[in-house]
Amino acid sequence: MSTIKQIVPSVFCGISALVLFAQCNSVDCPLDNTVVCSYGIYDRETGKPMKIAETDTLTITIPNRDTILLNRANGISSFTLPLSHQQKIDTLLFHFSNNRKERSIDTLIYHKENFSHFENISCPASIFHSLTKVQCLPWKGSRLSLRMDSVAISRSSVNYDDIENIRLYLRHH
Amino acid sequence: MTILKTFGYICVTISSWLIFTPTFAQQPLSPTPRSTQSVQPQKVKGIQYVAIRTSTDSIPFFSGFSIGVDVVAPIRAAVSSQGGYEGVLRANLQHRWFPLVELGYGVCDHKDYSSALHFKTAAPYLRIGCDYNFNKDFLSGNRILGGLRVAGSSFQYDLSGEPIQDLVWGGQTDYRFSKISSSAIWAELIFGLEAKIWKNFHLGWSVRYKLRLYHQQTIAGSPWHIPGYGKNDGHTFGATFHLTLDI
Repeated sequence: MSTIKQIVPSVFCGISALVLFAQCNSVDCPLDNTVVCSYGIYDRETGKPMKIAETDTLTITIPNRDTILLNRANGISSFTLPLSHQQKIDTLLFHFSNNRKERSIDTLIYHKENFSHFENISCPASIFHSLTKVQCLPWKGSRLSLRMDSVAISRSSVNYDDIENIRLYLRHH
Repeated sequence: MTILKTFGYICVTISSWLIFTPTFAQQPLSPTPRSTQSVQPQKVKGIQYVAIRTSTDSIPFFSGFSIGVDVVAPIRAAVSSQGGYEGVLRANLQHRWFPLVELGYGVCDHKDYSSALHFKTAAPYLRIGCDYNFNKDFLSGNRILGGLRVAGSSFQYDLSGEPIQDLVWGGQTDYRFSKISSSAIWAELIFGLEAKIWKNFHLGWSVRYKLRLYHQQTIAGSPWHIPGYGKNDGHTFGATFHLTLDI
């Protein structure tokens, strides 16, 4: 009888502990689980952040596709864009225009490496990137005051963190 | 005369009590043997105080081995996506200290239906540590155990999921990793109870706080599950329900 009295509490406590720990389950998935490249716009002259004037617009497209990544944006100093999952080199077209209907197109090219990323079993699969090289090709025939001057990588790792990856230096005069 | 007769009866009655009462009081509960060479211990009804042995001076330093198994882990492996098989070899030092080695084989075959990711691994793990028996009556066979472990596992895992569609740039990327190698080291702080159930068999449980000390990153990030540790997090909890045999 005394043996049974010893066993029963031990079994009960053990099963209780197992049930307790079996119930501890949570979804460890970040709320922001989209991978985007973050751009910051800077003044070429001062090196400080600047905004695109209300009279100017910026549209970003992908060559040979009808996809518009950014449509007639103005008054912004930063923006985010998705990267391709498989390509090692992406090309973007930056369409600048003003209120006089004048337009110019500058080209941005970046080289990158792509990594399949696993965050958690309950999170969707995603692709992270590492920027290795970025360059811009300004349209030399542009008569617009606003146009691209140069670019630089400020953070090569492109992941869930919304931290600036590329700096765009614009000239506006 | 009447008074004298009455006084005489009273004296006789009191004398009888004085003669017979001690005889009944000293009568033993069990027959006492006449021979003084074979004295048996008296059986006492009620609560009997027995002095607990608290010194290990006369106990041999090495008091034997124990082997045991975790009886719940195989059931978890059968009915859920995570579990394993675990055995323990334990030395008994004066019934106080129990240096031990735990060897197990952890399995995980989990598919998440919300993300369509499938994680699979099966690998051995090893724990080395020591338990201490806090029970004052440490010779009773019932043990209150606290202990520490250092554990590790080197394992491979598979991770797969649906191809990732690139809705902006077009195309899709396969999401499939096979036999990714990784390893982990962790420490465990343990509290457990163990009861003697029959002869040298003990049944008990333990709860464990696990602290990850190291884990190897892979090309697919961190492994989701570590055999013997559980879900890969900075720290986690676990429990065992074990049957041991003193040999």
